Amino acid sequence: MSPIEEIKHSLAESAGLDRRRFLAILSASLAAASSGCNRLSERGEIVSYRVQPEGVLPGVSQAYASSLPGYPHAPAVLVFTRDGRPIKIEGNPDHPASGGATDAYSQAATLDLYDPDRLGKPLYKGQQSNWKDADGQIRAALKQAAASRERILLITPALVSPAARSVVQRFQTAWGSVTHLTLEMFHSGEALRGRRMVHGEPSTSRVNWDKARRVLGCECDFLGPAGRVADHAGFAARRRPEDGEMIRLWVAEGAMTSTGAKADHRLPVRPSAQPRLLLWLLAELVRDERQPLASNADIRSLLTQLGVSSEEVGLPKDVLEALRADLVGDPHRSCVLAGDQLPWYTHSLAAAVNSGLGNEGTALSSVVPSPAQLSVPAPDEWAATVDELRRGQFGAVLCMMANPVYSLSADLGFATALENAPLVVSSSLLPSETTAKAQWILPAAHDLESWGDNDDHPGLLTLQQPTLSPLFESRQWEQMLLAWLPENQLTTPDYGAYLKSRWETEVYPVAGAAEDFDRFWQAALHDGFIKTNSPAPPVVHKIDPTGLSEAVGEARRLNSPELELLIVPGSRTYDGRFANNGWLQELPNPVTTQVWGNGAVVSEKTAQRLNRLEGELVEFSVEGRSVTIPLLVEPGVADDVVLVEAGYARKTAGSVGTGVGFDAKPLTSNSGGISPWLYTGVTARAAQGSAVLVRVQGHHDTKGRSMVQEIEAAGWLKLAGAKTVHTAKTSPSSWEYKGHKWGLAVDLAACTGCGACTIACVAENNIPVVGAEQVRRGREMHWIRLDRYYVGKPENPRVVHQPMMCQQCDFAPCEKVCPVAATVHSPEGLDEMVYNRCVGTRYCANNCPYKVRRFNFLDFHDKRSPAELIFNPEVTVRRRGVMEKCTFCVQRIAAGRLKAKIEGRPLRDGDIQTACQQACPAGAIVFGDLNDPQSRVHKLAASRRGYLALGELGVQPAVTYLSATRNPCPGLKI
Amino acid sequence: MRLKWNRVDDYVKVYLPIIALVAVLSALVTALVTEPVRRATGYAPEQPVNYSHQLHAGRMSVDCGYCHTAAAFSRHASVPATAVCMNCHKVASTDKPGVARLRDTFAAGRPVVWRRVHRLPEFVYFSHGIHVQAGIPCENCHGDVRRMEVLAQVSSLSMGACLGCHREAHTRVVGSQSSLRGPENCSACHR
Repeated sequence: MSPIEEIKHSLAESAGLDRRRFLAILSASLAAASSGCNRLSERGEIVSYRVQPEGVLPGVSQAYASSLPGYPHAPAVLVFTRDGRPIKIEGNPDHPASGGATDAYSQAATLDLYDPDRLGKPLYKGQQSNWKDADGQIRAALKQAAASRERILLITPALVSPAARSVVQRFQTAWGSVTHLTLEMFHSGEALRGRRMVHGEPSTSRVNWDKARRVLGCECDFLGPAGRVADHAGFAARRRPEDGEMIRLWVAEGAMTSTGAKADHRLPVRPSAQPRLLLWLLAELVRDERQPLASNADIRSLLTQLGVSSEEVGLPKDVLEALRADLVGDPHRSCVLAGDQLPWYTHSLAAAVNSGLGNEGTALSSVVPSPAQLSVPAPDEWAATVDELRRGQFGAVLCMMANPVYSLSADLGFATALENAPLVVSSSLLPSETTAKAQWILPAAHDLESWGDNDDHPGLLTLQQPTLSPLFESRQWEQMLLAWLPENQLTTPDYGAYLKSRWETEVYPVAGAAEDFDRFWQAALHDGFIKTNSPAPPVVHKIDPTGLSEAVGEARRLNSPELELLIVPGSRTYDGRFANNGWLQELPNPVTTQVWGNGAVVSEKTAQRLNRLEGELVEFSVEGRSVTIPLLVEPGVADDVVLVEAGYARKTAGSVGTGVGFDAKPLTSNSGGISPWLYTGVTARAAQGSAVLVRVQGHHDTKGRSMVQEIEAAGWLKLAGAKTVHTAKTSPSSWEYKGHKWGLAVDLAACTGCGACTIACVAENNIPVVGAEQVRRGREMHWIRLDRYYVGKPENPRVVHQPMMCQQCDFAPCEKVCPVAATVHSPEGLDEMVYNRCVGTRYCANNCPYKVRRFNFLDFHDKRSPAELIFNPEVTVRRRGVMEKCTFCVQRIAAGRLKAKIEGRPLRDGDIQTACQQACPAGAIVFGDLNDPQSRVHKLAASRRGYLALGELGVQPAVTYLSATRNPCPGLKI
Repeated sequence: MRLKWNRVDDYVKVYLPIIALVAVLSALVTALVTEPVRRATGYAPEQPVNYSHQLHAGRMSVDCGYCHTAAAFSRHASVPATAVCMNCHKVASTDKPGVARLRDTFAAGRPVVWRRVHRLPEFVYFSHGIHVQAGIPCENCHGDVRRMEVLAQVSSLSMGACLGCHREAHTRVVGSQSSLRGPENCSACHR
C-alpha cells in the first residue's frame, strides 16, 4: 500500500464504523459501565468524629435561632441543620414578629445559599484573585482617594443592623469624606413623608388586629406575599365566624391583589383616584362637629370647602355611603391604610382620616420608624451624588450588597457615571448588573453564613448567627469594611468577634441583665433575640393644618385622564434580589398564577381599547421613555390601570434569573411620577410580536363543581343551630383505623395564597425546579399548589384561594389502578407512594380527580455543586420516570413518633406539623389525628364550615376544607 | 417444505427446552452460590484498628450505648468519636500497637476512617432509635456481637428479614404482649 493509499484508507476507515472499531467501542463501553458497579459487598466508609460536638447527634437536626436581614422584613427564623448543612428554615416561634411562621422568601433562603451561580472567589477585572490582594489594593486606593481629596461613595441596602451601622460609621470617620447612601427599590419613604407633613414627625402605623373591626385598605397589599407575617396572622384570626365577630375589610385598589382577594367589599379604583376617595371621606368626617378633626377651625374650614362628589371618586353613592357608615359607625375601631406605593399626600390624608376616627391605640398603633426606614435618601440626594460621580469627584465607589445599576432609574445615568470613578468595588452574592461594571468583584457571604443583629422590630434586638462556615471564599460585607480601615485602625478581622464585643459594650450594659455577659450572650444566641426598651410612641394626635392643606391641594390637583402605571414589588422576585431563585420563580403569582415572568396586568376593556390580546406586546411610554411589555389580561383590574411587578428582566443575575420577564424600570425616572412607583400620563401603542406567558392554571372558575365554598357571616349567624352547611360526608369509611388516622383541615377563610406553604414543601421534600417550558407543558412538580378561583363578574370578581395537596382519600382512585402496587393504603389512612416500586405508568395521575400527582418526566435536579447539599436526607430524591405526591410529610410523622417514644409518652396533638402547616403565616392548615376526639383537626373537620372538595365523588378525602368567609355590609351589592 | 418443518420441530421440541433448562439451572446455581455475597452475610472487612467487640462488649460488658450514642435517638447508631475511645485509652492498654495508633491519630487531629459493615439501600429509612426505644435487643439484627473478635454482618438485612421480625415482633422482645407487631405498610420504611 502506497503512503497515499494508506492515508486514504485510514481516512475512509475513520469515517465509518468498521468491525474492529465497533468491537473497541463495545468493549470500552462495557468496561466503563462495569466500572460504575460496585461490588455488592462494598459498603463504603464511616468517618467518625474526632471529638463529637456537644448536642450533635448524627441523623438528628439542630435548630439555630437566627434572622435573615437580607430578606424582606428581616424575618426571625430557626435554621434547621443536618450534618452542618442548613436544610430548612422555619419561623422563630418565640419571636413576636414571627410566631413560628415565615413568608415564601425566607423559606427559599437555603436555595440562595446553595446557588451554584454564587461568586466563589474575589475577581479583579475578570481574573481570579485573592482576599489579600483585594484588601491591599482597595485600601491603597482608598488612601489614594483620601490623599487626593477625592470622596468615597458607599452604597448599601437600608441597614437594619445597629452593628453594621456602627461599622459604616467607623468607616466614615476613618476615611473622612465618605458618602453613604442606602438603596432600596421599595421603601416607606412616601408614607414617612406624608405622616411627617401632618404630624410633624415621621411614623408608620400597624393595625391592632385584635381590636379593629373595620379596615379600609387603599392600594395596600398587606396580605400579599411581601406583607408582614404578623399581619397575615392577625387578620386571619379575625376571619373565623365561630371565633367571634369577623373584621370587615374594604379594599380600594387598581389591580387585584391578595388583599383584594380577601376583601369583603373590593372597589376597583385607579391609584390616582384614591386620594380623592380619602378627601371625600375627610369631608364627610368633619360634617359631624363633634369629630376630633372638626374641633380645629382651620381644618374644618379646609375640609368643608372640599366638596368632593361621589362621581369624582368614581364609585356609586350607596357604596360610598356604606363605607362611610361603616367607618364612622365605630370610629375607634375602624382604620384606613394607605399602601407604600401611593404618593405622600395620600398618606397625609389617610393619617388625617385616622386622626378623625380617633383610632390611635385602638384600631391602629403608630410606631417610630426604624433607623433603616429613615435612612432611605430622597431622590435629589441620588441626583446630586450621581452628578458628582459624573464629574469625577469620587475616588472609589463601593457597592456592598446593593445593585444600583439595576435598581436606580435609568435617567439618573448611574451606569455611565460609574465609568468616571477610578475604583468600583461590588460585593454581591451573585453576579449582577453592578458586578458587571466593577473592577473588584467580591463574593459576599449569605445571611446563613453571617453574623449580625437587627432592630427592625420595635422593642426587640434580633441576633443573626452563621449556621455553617462560608461555602465559598466569601466574606460578609461588614467584615470587608473593617478590613479596609486605615492600617493603624485595623482591629479584629472577625466580624463575629466585633459583634460580640459591641454587644458587650453597647447592648449588655443597658439590657439590665442579671447574669454575666457570657451567659447573657449565650442566652441571646439561643433565643435569637432580646427585648429592649420600646421607643416612646410617636405623637400622632395633632394634625398640622398647613401640612394637611398642602396635601389636600396636591390631591385636588391630581388628575389622570390617561393610562397609569403602578409598579409593585414582585410577588416572587421582590426587587430583583430573588431573580435567580428557581423555587421562587416557579412559584405561581397568587393572583395571575403566572410563573417565570411577569406582564403588564390590564383589564379586558383596556386590552380591547389597545386592540391587543394576552401575551401580545404593547409599547408603553412615559415622557419619552418607553418599554415593551406583553399584556396580561386579568379580571378585577380597574380600567386604564397598568400594573407591572418589579424584579424581572435582570440582565446579569445568574443562570436562572437572567432575562426572565419584563421590566417597567425604564419607564421610571429618578424624580418619580406622582410617586416613585406610580406614573400617570402613560401612553400605549400596539407593538409587533408576542411573548409566551406561562400560567399554571387553565381554568379560573369552578365550573359549578364543589371545589371551593364561600359563606357569609350574616348567613352564618342565621345558620346558628343548624347542623351542617357542607357536603355531607359520604358512606362510612371503607377502612377501619384502629390507631391514628391522619387528616388535614384547611381554612380557606385564612388562606391568602401567599405561597409560603409551597416553598416550605419544596424545601422539605426535595422537589425540583423544572423551568418555564416544562411548566407550560403541565409538568410542574409542586406537591401543594395554590388554586385561585374567580367568583362573580369579571369586572370585579371575588377570589378564593385554595391550597390543594394530596387528599389521602380512603377510597383512593390512584390506588385502584396502579399495576405494580406502588401506591397503597396505610393503616393510618395515608395513600403511600413507594418510589422504588413505581414503574411510571402514570395511571394513578390520570385517575386522580384533584390532579395532585406529579411525574418526573426528566431528571430535573441541579447537578452543579453545591446544589446537592440542599437535600433533606429524610426524603428520597426521586429519579426520572417516577410518580410522586404529597405524603403528609410522612418523615415528620416518623420523627414525631420517635420523639414521643423517647420521651415515653403517647403522641400528642401538635407533636407533628407538616411543613406547609408549619410555614403558614395565617395558620390555615392544621394536621393531626382524626381518631383523637380532642385534636384540633378533629374539631375542625366537624366544623359547620367544613366540606370535602369534590365530596360528591365519594372518594372520602382526609382533607377537610373550611369555607371561605365574607363579611359584607348587609344588603350592599358590589 | 418437509425439511423446514422438521427443523422447526427440532427447535421447539429439543433445542428450546434444553436452552431454557440450562438458563434456569445456571440462574439458580448462581443465585445459591452468590447468596452470601449478595446479602453480604458474613461480611467482615479489616478495620483500621483491630477493635474487638468480644473484648469490649463481651468480656468487659461495656454497654452498646456507651459508644453508639445515637442509637436510641436517631436513625443512625453512630460510630463513636475517637474521644470516646480516649476516655479509657489515655491510660488503659497504651502499650498495644492499635491503641497507640489510635492515640496518634487523635493527637494529630485526624479522624478514624472505619470500614462500613452494615448498609441498607438508599430507599430504606430504617431508624435505630424507634427500634431501641421499642426494646428490640441489638443482637436481633447484629447477632451476638459480644462473641465477635472481628465484627461481621449476621442478618441478611433484606426486606424479608425485616418483615419476618415485624410480623411476630412479640417473639423478639422480652416480656412483650403477643399482640406486638411492627408496622408492615410501605411508608414505615420507604418514603
